[in-house]
Amino acid sequence: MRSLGISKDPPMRYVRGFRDGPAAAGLSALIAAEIDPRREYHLMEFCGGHTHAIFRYGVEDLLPDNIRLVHGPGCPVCVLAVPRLDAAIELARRPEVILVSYGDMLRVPASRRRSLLKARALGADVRMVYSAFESLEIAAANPARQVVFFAIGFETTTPATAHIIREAQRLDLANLSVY
Amino acid sequence: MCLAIPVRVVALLGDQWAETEVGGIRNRVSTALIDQVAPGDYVIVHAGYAIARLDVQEAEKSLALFDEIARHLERPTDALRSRLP
Repeated sequence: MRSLGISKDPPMRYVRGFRDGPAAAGLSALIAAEIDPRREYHLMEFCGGHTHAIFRYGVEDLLPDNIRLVHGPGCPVCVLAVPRLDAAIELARRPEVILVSYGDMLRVPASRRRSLLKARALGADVRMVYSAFESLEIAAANPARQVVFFAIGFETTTPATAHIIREAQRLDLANLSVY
Repeated sequence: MCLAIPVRVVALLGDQWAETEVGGIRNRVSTALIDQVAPGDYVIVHAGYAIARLDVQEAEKSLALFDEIARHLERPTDALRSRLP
């Protein structure tokens, strides 16, 4: 029996399973058969990545008319204003700058099809970190460079950003700034 | 960006650092943002910082749910196959 989702073949495991047209058409028909036509369904996705995927793959066209997708807030990564990201890329391109960023920012498209990842491929010093505190270590290890932490975030990341600002002061790290 | 997980504090390393463990993975996290953390406590960690202390029972319930999700993900996803038109 053909698998609906996940192939055992590791390299294609997360690709092929999601490109199964007949399975998608089947699921679409199944959803249409399952819903109550007298009801209106409103579903909100909260992640901007989901919103991108819904539009890219035309998911709305596969759903019955009485299922409305409400596009939710998105986290600050993919709802970041493009000029802000463009400015970060310009900063990263300066030879004296090391731009430090959370990994999920690197692929977000900026204007003119640029991204931090592409800027890095073209020679900019962009470093991916798991935690803001790694900016302190990078700044301490590179006293001759300007280390800029790209302080993207919301309630959960802002305290960490505030903490590294205080630590940079305490450790007298004059070459660390936050954008 | 959105992922924060409960982890168990294994040891305090001093200077507002702690050794933590979840699912066999150990990591050093900053405890600068929370008060009074002790070995055995569960904390929520986001991007390297403990951001809240958790009730032990709540934490263990969450981790059991994560385990259940992981077990489901390992299973084949053919549950709907027999119902496809």
